[in-house]
Amino acid sequence: MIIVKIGGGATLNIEGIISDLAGVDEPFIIVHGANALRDQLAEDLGRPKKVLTSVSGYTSVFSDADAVDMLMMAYSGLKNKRLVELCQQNGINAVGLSGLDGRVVQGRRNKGIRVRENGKLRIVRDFSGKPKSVNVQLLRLLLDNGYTPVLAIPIIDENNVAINSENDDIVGVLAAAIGADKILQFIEAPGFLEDKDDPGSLVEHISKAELALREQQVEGRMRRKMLALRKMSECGASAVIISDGRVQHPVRDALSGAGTKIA
Amino acid sequence: MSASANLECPICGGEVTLGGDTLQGELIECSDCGTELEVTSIKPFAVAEAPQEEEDWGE
Repeated sequence: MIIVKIGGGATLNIEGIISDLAGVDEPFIIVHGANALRDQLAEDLGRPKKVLTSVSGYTSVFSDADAVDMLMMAYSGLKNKRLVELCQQNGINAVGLSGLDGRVVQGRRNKGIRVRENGKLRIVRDFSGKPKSVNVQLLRLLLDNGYTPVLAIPIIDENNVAINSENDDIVGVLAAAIGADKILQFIEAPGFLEDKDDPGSLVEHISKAELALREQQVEGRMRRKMLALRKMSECGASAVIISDGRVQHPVRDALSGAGTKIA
Repeated sequence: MSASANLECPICGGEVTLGGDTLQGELIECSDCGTELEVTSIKPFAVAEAPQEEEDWGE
């Protein structure tokens, strides 16, 4: 079982990823992002996103009701349906689901995000949270009958409310629950780069211990990513492969060793 | 802007003073017991023990 995470970047070769996946023998589940699309939609509709930085250095989108509307439109709406369409065109019988559908991804709403505002410490509450479990029965029902789940946020919280969540966290919870043996993550870079501005500084292999160390060395969104990667690598999968989603054959290359392997 | 007010810490009963510039959701510390408190309301003023979150971010 492979979990395929397709980032939300605008330059990813989605057609190449889906075309390659059509030739993969083992079952897979797709989890996708849509942040570039969400940002564009939000700007176009005059409701630009707001970003919070917590006191511990983590950044996140402030998910008020407006922001959840935007993410529903972008992630579980437009992006999800276009991805399902592309899968169908490539012979993959995809079913697009948000975490709400069949409670396929359940989470717990955050108690609050601590931010500093005008020198004061404050708790900000929004519609965001952490994934805690998945509906394995529903996923197995689909997979066992030849369907490929294509999942997107929002997820459902303990009060049946739609909440925003981090796709990397969802992949980790999903991989552990379903017993995935591989996680492929496609990004807009050759893999994990030592120097983010130097594509030639690809790190081909990172151990889990090294991940924890690197997490302390970065800030903001990168720090969140590193933590999420660390959790992903602890979910039981034999390998997490971060690979370039912009190339002609992203999946084929990743399965052949391209990118960064965390194991 | 609300006037200042003296409240009671919900944990130890000690005095907690809030000023007119206090923000909704602001985190303060009880000077008696050190418990972190959240200003849950500014009209009227109210405080409660602040929730603890292991990871403080959304998406």
